[in-house]
Amino acid sequence: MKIYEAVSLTVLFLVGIALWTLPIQQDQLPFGEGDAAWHFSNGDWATKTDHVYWKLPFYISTWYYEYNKIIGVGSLEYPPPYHVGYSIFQIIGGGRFVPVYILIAMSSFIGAFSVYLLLRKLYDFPTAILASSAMVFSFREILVYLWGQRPTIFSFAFVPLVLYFLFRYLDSIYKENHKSIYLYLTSGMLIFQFLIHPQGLMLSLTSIIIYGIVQTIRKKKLPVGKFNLLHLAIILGISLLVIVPFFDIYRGANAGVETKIKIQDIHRLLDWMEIEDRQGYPNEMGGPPVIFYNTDKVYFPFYYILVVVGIIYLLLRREDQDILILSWLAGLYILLHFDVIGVFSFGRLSRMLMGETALFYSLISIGIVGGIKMFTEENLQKKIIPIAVILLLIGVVSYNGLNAYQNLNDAYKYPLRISNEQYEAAQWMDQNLPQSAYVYYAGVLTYPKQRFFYILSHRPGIWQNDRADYPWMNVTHIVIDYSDAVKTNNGNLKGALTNYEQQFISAGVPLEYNHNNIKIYSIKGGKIAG
Amino acid sequence: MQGKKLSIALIILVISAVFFAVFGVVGIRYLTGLFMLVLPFIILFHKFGLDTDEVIVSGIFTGLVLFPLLVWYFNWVVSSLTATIFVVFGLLLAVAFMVPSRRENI
Repeated sequence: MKIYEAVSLTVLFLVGIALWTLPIQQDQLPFGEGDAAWHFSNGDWATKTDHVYWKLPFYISTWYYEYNKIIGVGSLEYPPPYHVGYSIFQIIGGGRFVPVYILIAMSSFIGAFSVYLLLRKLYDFPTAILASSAMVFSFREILVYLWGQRPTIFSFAFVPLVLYFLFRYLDSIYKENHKSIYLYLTSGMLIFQFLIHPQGLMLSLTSIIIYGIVQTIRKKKLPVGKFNLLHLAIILGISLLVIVPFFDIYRGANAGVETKIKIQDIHRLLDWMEIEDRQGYPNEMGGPPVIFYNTDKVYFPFYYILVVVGIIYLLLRREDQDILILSWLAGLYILLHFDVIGVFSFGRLSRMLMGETALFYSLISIGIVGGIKMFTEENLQKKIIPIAVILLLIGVVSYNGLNAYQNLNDAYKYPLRISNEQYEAAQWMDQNLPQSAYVYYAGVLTYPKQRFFYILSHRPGIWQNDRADYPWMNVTHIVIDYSDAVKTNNGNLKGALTNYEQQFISAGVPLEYNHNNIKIYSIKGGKIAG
Repeated sequence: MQGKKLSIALIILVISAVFFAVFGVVGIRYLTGLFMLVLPFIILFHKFGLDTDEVIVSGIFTGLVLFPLLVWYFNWVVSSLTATIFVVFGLLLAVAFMVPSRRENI
């Protein structure tokens, strides 16, 4: 690695850290949607108890995928590594929120570095730095990072690494210089994807299967033989050892994946990712909000021209690494159309788009740098490519970078994030309410804040929009939170809460906490008046 | 070689300074944690003749998943999670140092 490469990567890493942690630099309380709270709570509980667990604590086991159909209520809903990582950084980092959120930020933009490795080794430095810089500002990853589906982003970040290591391994076979280390690294990365989130694994597997088949035909040589049977057996053994204990976590999850095959909407095969024809468009399509699909923001206007240029360049050149990138494209295309055979729900399918940004930025960069190489003489290329890359980097920073900064800088400001007053109340609940407490909340403005209240107090809860028919719901405490209404000058909410509270005052229900406009009443097995 | 070591030291220094400037002591403690997770794998992968960028990137990705997985398993033996982190770090470091260099044919 040359010194300018090391410096470029360091700058990229520091820009990523400074940018992606903006939401936690301004306000050190946690942020995100309901999923964010749930993921956070998994690591947080292990830190609190100073021990990992096999059964989820009650307060977080009742509100995710409902329950695992095979292992039952309270089972883990993801293999442990991602959430244990939160715990490790809480313990070593010496803070409940900031170290975890630095980790979350880093694991959300780390895909920039796997893209860098793939393109640097198989193409060149200009292509690699262009694509990886764009990845650091990737709007789609930023949205998902902010919302909270963070393991999914992290899992997709492994895809370029899997592709790269497999390429190196197969290449070593074709050149009769077997380097089994790359086979182990390929398998290792696939196993890690399984442990983090299966959607990234699906993209890797589909892409490498396509690449393997195409290369076998092109090279007329099977990548399996006496020379690697032992290694494959070892890898199979390790894979089973790691995967089997956690396999039922995914198998039993109620996660939007169907096994019944039914052909539908065949016309979608002609689109890359059409959403306008979806039921509920543009409001509620059963997936992320419509902004997630806004490609002008995710990339830039007319980006697809450069994607097509990249594809044409690869099709014309057709060297091994070009076939690899095309296999990645084909793999993602197949997965993005799994709903045509009825396997994925739209919500699950749309998350596959997290695998698109790394691919498209790679294609765009390959198209630009490759295009220059195709149409200029070699002695001119050395002058033109650096200038073009610098100009494009300026463009990336001023368009995508500025967009990223604005979104991260403005994200989850109060009242969208839990306040210090609410955190103080949650801590009081953690220390003073019995473990068996079940809390009803009134007044907290948003659903995600409500979720953060549960997990910061380590007590299960319910609010007016939750399902109320679970047998385990037996409310013991009522939180009446005026703080949001007061701070946002919401007179209607304040009035409604005052009326609601009257029943507890009239009945002489004991008031256990009254601080910062937040009140907590203790009831026993009481019915909730809506 | 001396120049390479100096460059690495400078990069670590700059990263630490930025983390301290942005996050204070927590930033430095975070980096210490990251260092604990990835260092054993960087040492290990370096022994298999991989290029520096391959070692760093695969070391980081491996450390972020495999280290916590091992902590999860070992915590069933070592009672405290905090202690387990250091036990796993020590064990991985020992393994990384003990594995002989195999730069050819692996």
